[in-house]
This record gives sequence, C-alpha cells and structure tokens, in this order.
Amino acid sequence: MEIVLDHVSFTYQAGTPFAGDGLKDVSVTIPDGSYTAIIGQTGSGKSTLLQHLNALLKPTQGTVRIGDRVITPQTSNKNLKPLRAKVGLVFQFAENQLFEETVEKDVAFGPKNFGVPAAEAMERAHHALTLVGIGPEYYQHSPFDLSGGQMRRVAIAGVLAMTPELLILDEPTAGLDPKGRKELMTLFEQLHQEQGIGIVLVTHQMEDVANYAEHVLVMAGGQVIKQGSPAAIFADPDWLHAHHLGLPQAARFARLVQAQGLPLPAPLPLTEKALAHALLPLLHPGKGQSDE
Amino acid sequence: MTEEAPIITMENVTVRYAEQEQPALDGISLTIPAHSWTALIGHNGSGKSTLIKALDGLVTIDGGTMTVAGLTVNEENIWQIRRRLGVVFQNPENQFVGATVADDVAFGLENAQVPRPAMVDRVAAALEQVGMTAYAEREPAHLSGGQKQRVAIAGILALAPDIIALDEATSMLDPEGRASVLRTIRTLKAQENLTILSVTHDLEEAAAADHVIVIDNGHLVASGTPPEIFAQGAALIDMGLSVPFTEQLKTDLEAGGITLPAGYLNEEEMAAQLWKLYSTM
Ligand SMILES: Nc1ncnc2c1ncn2[C@@H]1O[C@H](COP(=O)(O)OP(=O)(O)O)[C@@H](O)[C@H]1O
Ligand SMILES: Nc1ncnc2c1ncn2[C@@H]1O[C@H](COP(=O)(O)OP(=O)(O)O)[C@@H](O)[C@H]1O
Ligand SMILES: [Mg+2]
Ligand SMILES: [Mg+2]
Repeated sequence: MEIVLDHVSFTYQAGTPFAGDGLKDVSVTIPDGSYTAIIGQTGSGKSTLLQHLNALLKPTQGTVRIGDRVITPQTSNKNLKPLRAKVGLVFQFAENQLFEETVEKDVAFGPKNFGVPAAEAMERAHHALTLVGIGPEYYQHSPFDLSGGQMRRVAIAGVLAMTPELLILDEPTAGLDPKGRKELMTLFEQLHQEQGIGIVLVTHQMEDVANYAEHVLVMAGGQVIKQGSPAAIFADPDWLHAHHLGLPQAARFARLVQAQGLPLPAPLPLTEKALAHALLPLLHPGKGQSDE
Repeated sequence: MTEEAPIITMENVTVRYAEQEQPALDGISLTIPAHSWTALIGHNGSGKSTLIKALDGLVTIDGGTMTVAGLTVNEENIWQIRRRLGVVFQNPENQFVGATVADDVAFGLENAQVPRPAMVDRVAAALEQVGMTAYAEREPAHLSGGQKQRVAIAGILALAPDIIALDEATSMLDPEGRASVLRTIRTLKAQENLTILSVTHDLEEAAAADHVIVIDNGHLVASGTPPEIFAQGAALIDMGLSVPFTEQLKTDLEAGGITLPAGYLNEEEMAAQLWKLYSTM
C-alpha cells in the first residue's frame, strides 16, 4: 500500500496562543512495501508525520492518500478503523499503553475491538506473540510483571495482531539494552523480508538506518528537507552535521582513518562489516602493490 | 587519576522484592571513588535501578550495609543522604509535582528550605544549564519525553548535591541532546568537584568514564577501567550487552588475518594502529 502526502501542513492547537507548526507543506511518497527510515532532530516533526500515515491526525491543509483512501482536512473520523488495521502504528514507549490483566488479552484486544470473533482474535494474538518471541509461558502473566524489553514486544504484538500491511515504528528501540535492540531490529527485518510488510522507522540510530533502510527521509522544522538511499544521505557528512545529524559509527571512523592518510576507496563504508571489508586489502602485506 | 577515598560503598547488599524468586541484588559489594565518573552497565532487569534506589533509601535492603558520603544508609540518615546524593530517575513521567516547569525545579529547593530569592536564581540557572529556559512557565505534562528528562536533571542540578546518580537519564534525548546534556554534567562535575554514577546503555559514554561497573542478574560481575572492561568483549555480549565499535572492528580484522595489539583500543588508538600497519608494510 502506497502512501502519498500532497502539500500537507499540520498545525497543533490551531487558533490558540500555543498554536505551533507540526508539518509545513510536506509532499512525499512512501512506496508500497518499502523499508523507510525517518531521521531528524527532536521536534522536527517525525511523530507528527507518522500520525498522518494512519489518519490519527488529519492534515490542516493538503491531502494524504493511504492506498485508495484519500484523507483531507474535511474527512470525518468515521470509517477510519479499517485503515488503522492496515497501517499499524507502534507509539514511542508503547509499553505505557498496555492495560489488560494478561499478556494474551492485551494482544487480542486490538483485533477484538475491530470485530474479529473472540476465538480468532486469541489465535491471532498467539501468532503475533510467537512472532515477537514471547512464549506461551507468558500468556497468562500480567504484562506489568515483564521486563521493559518484553513489555515493548507485547505492545508490538498488539499491533501485529491486526495483521497490518504497513508497520510504523516510532523510536521502537529507545531505552532497550543492546541485545533487546538487536532482537527487535532483526524482527522488523524478518517481517519485512518474509511477510512483505512495509516498515516506516523513526530512529536516532544511524547504524540501523545504514543496516536496514532502503529509503531515508530527513526532517527539519516540520519539513522533509532531503530524501534518498542511505548511501546518498550519508554521502554528505558536512550537510548532515549542519542539520544536527550524525554518521553511522563506521562511516565516522572511516573518515578518521582517511584523515590520517589511509586511502580508503569511495564510497564511504556505512557499516562495520563494510568498513572491515574495505580496510583488509589495505592492511595485508603486499597490498597489491608491485614494487614490494 | 589519583585514588580518592570512596564516597559510596556497598557491602554484600541484597534486595529481594516480594513475590520474586530471584533477588534483584544478590550480595553486591562495591566502592565508588569520590570525584569519579562511574558508569553502571547491565542488561534490562539486571538490577541497576534497584541499586540506585537502594542507595537513595527507596527500597529496603534485606542484607548488607551501604554508606554514602560517609553516612550509613538507614532511616535516620536518609534525609541527610538525599541532600548529598541527587538522583535523576529513569522514567520522568512519575517525577513531576509542580504546575509549571519552574515550580517543579523549585520543589526540591523548597523541601531543602532554600530562601525564596536564592531559589529563584538557582531555578533559573538550572533551567539555563539544561537549555529549558524558554519552557519555565509551561506545564510539565505537555513536554516531550526528552524535555521532561532535561527538567528532571535541572531539578537535581538546582539542589547542588555532591553526588549525582543518573538512571538512564538521557535515554529519551536525541544524540545531539544527549551529548549536550552530558557535556553540561561534565563541566559541572569539574567545577563543583562532583561524583557521577551513571546507569547507561551508551557504550561511548561508558568508554569515557573513569570506572565501569557491570552487573548481571543482581551480581557484580566486573569492575574496572574502560580498557579493562571492554577487553572482555565476548563475556559482555554473552550478558546481553555489546562492545564498543572498535572492539567489533578489531574482531573482524583479526578474523581477516590482521594482527593488532592485545587489549582495548579507543577510536584514536585504533586509527593510529591502522595507519602504522598500512604505512610500515
Ligand atoms: N500535542 C502537541 N501540542 C502542541 N505542539 C506539539 C504537540 N506535539 C508536537 N508538537 C510540536 O510539533 C513539532 C513537531 O513535533 P514532533 O512531531 O513530536 O517531533 P519529533 O517526533 O520529530 O520529535 C514540535 O515543535 C513540537 O513541539
Ligand atoms: N517494584 C518491583 N517489584 C517487583 N519486582 C521488581 C520491582 N522493580 C524491579 N523488579 C524486578 O527486579 C529486577 C531488577 O530490576 P531493575 O533494578 O529495574 O533492573 P534494571 O534497572 O537493570 O533494568 C527485575 O527482574 C525486575 O523485574
Ligand atoms: Mg517523536
Ligand atoms: Mg532500570
């Protein structure tokens, strides 16, 4: 399902002294089935943009086309439910929204609420829990007895139980330990590769952008100021720096060794593996030079 | 750096929560030197927050003894200890009491009976230090997670404690925001001769610390300088942690047949080694 924002602006608390721009004239396409990363400083409009992708927010100006549904400032809130099942939004710190007394009830709540019969909703809940790596031994636990990382995964299962075509993730690994982060990022990659689910990921982790994303949107001041492949976005470190963004660690380190005189060939390696691969031929005896 | 007298000690400290089979802290003994920056690392659920809460008297210990700034942690001393040890807790949502951001920062000062004029100055200075001056009259509830973390940090800075414990206090900030808050704390640490105890998953922060303490399932498993700790890469990964970038790179280069010196290398040292290898071949 393709999503197209056409000249979308959004104002928070319009008509009050606190009115503030969330989005300013954003025109952008999220291609069907893609893995898109959105990066930008805090306050740049990332979360506001995400909430337009499932019509949780409606544009103040412009239109959002989600598949074949067109959302305009006048669209009523009725009949948006099917859309929200197709486009699953996992909020930042999603575990704060868990509320049921058991893990399985919490995950089944979504599909039940969308009219799926109780037995099937429970089946879907168990399937979603399996996907996120939460075993049957936890089904009857209170979600509040789980660790932070497990709670986050239960919350993600709640969205997956709606069988979305597109999964939207707002800083999903914030606050997790390195292993928890890695497991979640691997899960999203699997959902993308094996089930063909489209992913939109908001993150501050440039390593994740380099490792997983196909397409990157850069936001600043409520606007999408640049878009392209990770290689294209990270090709201009000075521009990124000027916009308060950084490079993946491997690229940053690659620049450091280049500055020392090591002739690392272009393009800049973006991942640790790519960096090691580029360094090895330079470090081996002989290095392919004939005058040794 | 010179060895300083310990400002925090824990001797065989155990904490067992009701209805939990495993103790959250299981016989922890450690010392934290005064004026050091100590990073506390461990996987989610390893007991880091429990350790901080124990020092602050917020969870009762089931065994062992602790001292903070020379005072035994007990009911009698706890208010004095809280004046010396400021804690920025993990979840800022649960920490707000004031109607405005400024009121919130002032709250701790009121408790400490700081006179009104001094209080106004200290609140203003603390908000300035965390870059939240423009938000002084806003309602805390309307702030983003990262902004709430900044306000929580300001509330502690205003109290001017000797020791600041940060429990993943910058986890909701973006990288630039995190770097700027850490810079502020570093400057203050130098100016005011503070001791910092920081719970973090940020390995770059840990690598810049004086000391690193690793806990795993309520046990202290390692304590040392960053090079000492990060040289044990595989063990860290087994514990659900990660190793600094240079250690990963080293592992891959060694697998590719390159010989590098034993031990942890920071980025500058690693770059220098690579240049040496390249230029002498
Ligand atoms: N509920 C709200 N009320 C008023 N302003 C808001 C609200 N939510 C966000 N904003 C403002 O909209 C802008 C974009 O915010 P957001 O989309 O949350 O950014 P990001 O997710 O990139 O941090 C910011 O200036 C922010 O302060
Ligand atoms: N209030 C509590 N009641 C019961 N168990 C708790 C409570 N707080 C923490 N725990 C448990 O104690 C262990 C350590 O938790 P915590 O100190 O929060 O770890 P960390 O901060 O390292 O993530 C975990 O198993 C956690 O589930
Ligand atoms: Mg956001
Ligand atoms: Mg904790």
